[in-house]
Amino acid sequence: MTPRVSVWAAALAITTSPVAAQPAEPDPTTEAQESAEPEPDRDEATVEMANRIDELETRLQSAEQSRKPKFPVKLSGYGDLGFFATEGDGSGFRRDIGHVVFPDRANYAWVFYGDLLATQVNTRGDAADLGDAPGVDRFDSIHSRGNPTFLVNELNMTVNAGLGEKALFESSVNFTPRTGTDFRLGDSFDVDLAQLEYMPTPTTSIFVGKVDSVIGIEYKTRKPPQRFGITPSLLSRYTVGTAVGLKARSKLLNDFLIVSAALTNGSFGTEQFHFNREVDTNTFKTVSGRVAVRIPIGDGAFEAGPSGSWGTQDGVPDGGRAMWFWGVDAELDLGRLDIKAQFLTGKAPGEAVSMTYALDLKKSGYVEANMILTPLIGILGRAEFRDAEVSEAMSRLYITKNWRATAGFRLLFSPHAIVKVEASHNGEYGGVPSVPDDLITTSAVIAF
Amino acid sequence: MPTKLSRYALITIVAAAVSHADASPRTKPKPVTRADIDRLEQKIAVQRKVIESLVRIQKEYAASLAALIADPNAVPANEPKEEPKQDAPKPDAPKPDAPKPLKQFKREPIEKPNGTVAGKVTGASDVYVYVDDLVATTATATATMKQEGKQFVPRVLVVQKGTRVDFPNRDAIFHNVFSVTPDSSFDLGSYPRGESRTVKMSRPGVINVYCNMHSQMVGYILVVPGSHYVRAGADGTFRLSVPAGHHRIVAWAPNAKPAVKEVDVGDDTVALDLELKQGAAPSHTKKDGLPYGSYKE
Repeated sequence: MTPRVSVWAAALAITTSPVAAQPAEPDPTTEAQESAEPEPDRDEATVEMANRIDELETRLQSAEQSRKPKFPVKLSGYGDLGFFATEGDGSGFRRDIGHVVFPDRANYAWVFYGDLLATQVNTRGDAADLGDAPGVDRFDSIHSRGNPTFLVNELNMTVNAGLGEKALFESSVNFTPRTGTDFRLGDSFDVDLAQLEYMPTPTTSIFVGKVDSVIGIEYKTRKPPQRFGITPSLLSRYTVGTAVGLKARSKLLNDFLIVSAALTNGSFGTEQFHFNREVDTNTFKTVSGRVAVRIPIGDGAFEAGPSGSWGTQDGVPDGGRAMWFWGVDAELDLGRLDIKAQFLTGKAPGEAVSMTYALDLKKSGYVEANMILTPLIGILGRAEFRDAEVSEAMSRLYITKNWRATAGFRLLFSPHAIVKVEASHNGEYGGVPSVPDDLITTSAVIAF
Repeated sequence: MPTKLSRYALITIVAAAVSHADASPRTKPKPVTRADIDRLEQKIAVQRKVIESLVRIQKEYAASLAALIADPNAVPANEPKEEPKQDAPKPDAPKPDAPKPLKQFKREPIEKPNGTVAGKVTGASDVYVYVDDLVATTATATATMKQEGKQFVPRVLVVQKGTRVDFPNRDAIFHNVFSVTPDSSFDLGSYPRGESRTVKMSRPGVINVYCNMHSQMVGYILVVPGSHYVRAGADGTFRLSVPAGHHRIVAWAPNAKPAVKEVDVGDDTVALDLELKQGAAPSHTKKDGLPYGSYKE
């Protein structure tokens, strides 16, 4: 049937319809009823056709439903592009040559002061330059030597797969384009998340795989699209990593109590001083947990609680002393204003035979405030410190008494297009000489 | 297709189409393939458009004719009229925008006397009672469901078919409002504070509304066919004004199976008690079918 014939048929139908024949109905509401009842004198074939149309429409709806995938897969990701400039040579530490500054530490072959990661320029936590410390061969992924540099901070690809309504597989791979050296490719990729999340109830999740941290709160914003600013805090190196193992998280008492726990190969650190490894080197695992209360305040909430971890340090044989961290965190989220604070302390014993680094994190902490001024513009400020010593047997010692003040702003064009600018001043205290390592960094995040 | 008229027209047309395509009597029904369904779907869509267009023309013609006969100053039904914007239609209040245009068709309008249905609904909260078989003309009112404090406000909204619902974002963060309710699905995309999107509620039924970013955001929109509905009190009691006649009364609450009873309404009060069983809110996924995950807000 051509459209033209259809039009004539429709016109015929309308002109012979009861409504056309009876222009005035007594009840306006019933006049517009969606009644499917045919008139008694309708032809049987017409009734049959009406039934058939109904049946076909029902089948069409079923067909539409069946077209929806039972196991939906979503590919997403982001690109994080940046530019940064630092003071000095881009590194955050100096060598105490001749043990002039710390003569009481002359028992170590090499003593350094400052913070190796003070000049983190992106959300990954890459330092602008790792310096030229003697006796080690480090992969200095940026190695800017103090020069202002454009940088593709990170490209990310995330694949989420729904396995019914109660299970979700999430994997996230980071690609970092870098310069190669000595005919080695500098480009690298890392699988930073590969977890299966099963939700037996709407408030409880069980994870298996390479899972997110349970220490503190900063891990929630460890990726560029989620983080308000650019750089991670000074203590994030112990809290925002992902580890392989099991994890469970539950919100109880109508979301008042949040409990999470994990059993993993190692810690949730990211610092490359042997405090974490993908694959365990000993039998004993690391146990982590967090308990927090969440109190609704107006449109926002206040959440606070302690968290910690305990287990044999990677690189250290079974039976050695445990590595542990503990701390407290608090966050006041009022929608436009988000204030968060965290304190962390911890120790890793290290091991002289295997040359595994030891850590004495005496104390570290930060306070950060993020404020949304307009839907487009947001500002942030962060104050923090870190007091720690890292040593490798009696050969190397890094002494850090560092504080940092950071200010920045964010332009949120949409959840898919964000531009951020940050400036940080790094300072030293407690008799540690000043290291020129202030920096300014930018980031443009394009998420898809 | 809302009217009897269009239904008949559709039936006639499809009958003609099929008889033209296959005049021989059917002996054994052929298995229907996906291609058949697609083809028929396309045909139905084309015919519907044609019929809708013709119905509109006929209505305009009839309205103009009736207006000329009954009241020379009357406005034809489809002529656009300026409607006052309102946040939410008041339940059980006469809707000036719904049946009025069709009244102009009548030479001698006959008002059926109004009766009352009163009673109590037990077993649920946020209960609404409405008449299911009285269909008004499409409403042109607007209603609002805000995104505020990572919640939909109001959580439950009842509107007449045809109402345009605004979804303004009052939070400092982005939201993405969507619904996957069959035949009423929509996806408003991400938008920030101060912006709004609008959806016309064309089909009666319950529409579950979610945010693609915040799993805790759940809203319910009940689209009723006509203007006869009322919200039950906190104790479940209700009083609904209904035109005389035989009617189907429905009690509805979020996450409860609707309770339906038929009543004969005269010019007196009819007592009607209904019982609902309210369950827990069903789990839902993101717009693409993926679970939200535990705390990626």
